[in-house]
Amino acid sequence: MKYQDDNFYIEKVLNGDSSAYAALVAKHKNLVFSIALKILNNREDAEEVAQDAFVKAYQSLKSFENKSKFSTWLYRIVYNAAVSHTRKRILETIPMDNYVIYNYSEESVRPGIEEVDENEQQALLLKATKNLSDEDNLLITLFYHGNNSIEDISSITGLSASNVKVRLHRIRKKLYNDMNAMMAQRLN
Amino acid sequence: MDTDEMLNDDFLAGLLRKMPLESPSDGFINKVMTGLEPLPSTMTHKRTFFEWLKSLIPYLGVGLIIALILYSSDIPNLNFIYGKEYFSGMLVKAFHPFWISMKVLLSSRLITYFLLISVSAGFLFIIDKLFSRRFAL
Repeated sequence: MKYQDDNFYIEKVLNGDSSAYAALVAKHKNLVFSIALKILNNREDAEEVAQDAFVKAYQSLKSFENKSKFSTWLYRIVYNAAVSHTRKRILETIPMDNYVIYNYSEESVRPGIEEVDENEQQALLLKATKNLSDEDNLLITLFYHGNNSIEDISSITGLSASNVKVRLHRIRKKLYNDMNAMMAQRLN
Repeated sequence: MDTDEMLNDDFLAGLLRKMPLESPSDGFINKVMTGLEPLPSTMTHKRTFFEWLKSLIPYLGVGLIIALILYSSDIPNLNFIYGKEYFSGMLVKAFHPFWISMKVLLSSRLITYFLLISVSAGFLFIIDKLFSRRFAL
């Protein structure tokens, strides 16, 4: 289903058409649920937190000032709700390592993966993502599925933009390494 | 390779974006929608005449009680009300069988306690029904 821009629905809701909110829920439900699930690791809890986040966002819709994207604002709500639910801070700041960011060459780990067909690449990637921590999977979801910028993710999680960048680099490197290792294992 | 270019590398980004997201249960949207209450600015509730009339009941009740107390009292300024004695006499006569039966009932201690408790509870219940709901948020 093709959805309109978020502001289209927000305006309708603010003008009294609360049913327009259903389209916003339908548009964002998978990502909101995935964020909660990555943090809580329990489908029932994640669904409850996602539901509460949507209700909370609806109630606070009047105070949404368009300073950020609606999606970023919504993801921040669900992230905070899920973290409060677990009563722990899930994303710890990691020390900056500029060497890792600026001197690591992806080309050294990528060759080989592009040789296999797409289905196999998907299968390898799926396995590799299962080796990642929930926190790293959360960052991947926010960056690649939610199309959030580094600054958006920083605003959602409370991490500094540099830290988000470092983490994403490390995740990518780990994914490539794991995929290569799995491929080598298959060949042997 | 520049850091931003690396992060948006088409190869891995393309693969990752093709991975399906987890989705909540089928009734999720309905559950969210039923949990919503109208936004304060969009709440419109037109009071019907019946509701307005109903809202007057506690005030009418209190007014009636005050009127009865004043009417049956010996306040000198109320002596001008014509037929007061006649009306009071009628009330006493009308309630005579009731007073007699009450006298019989109250001669039993158990019944007295029972009536005392139930009348008090009933009174509190009525007061609660009449007033608390009107001022509930």
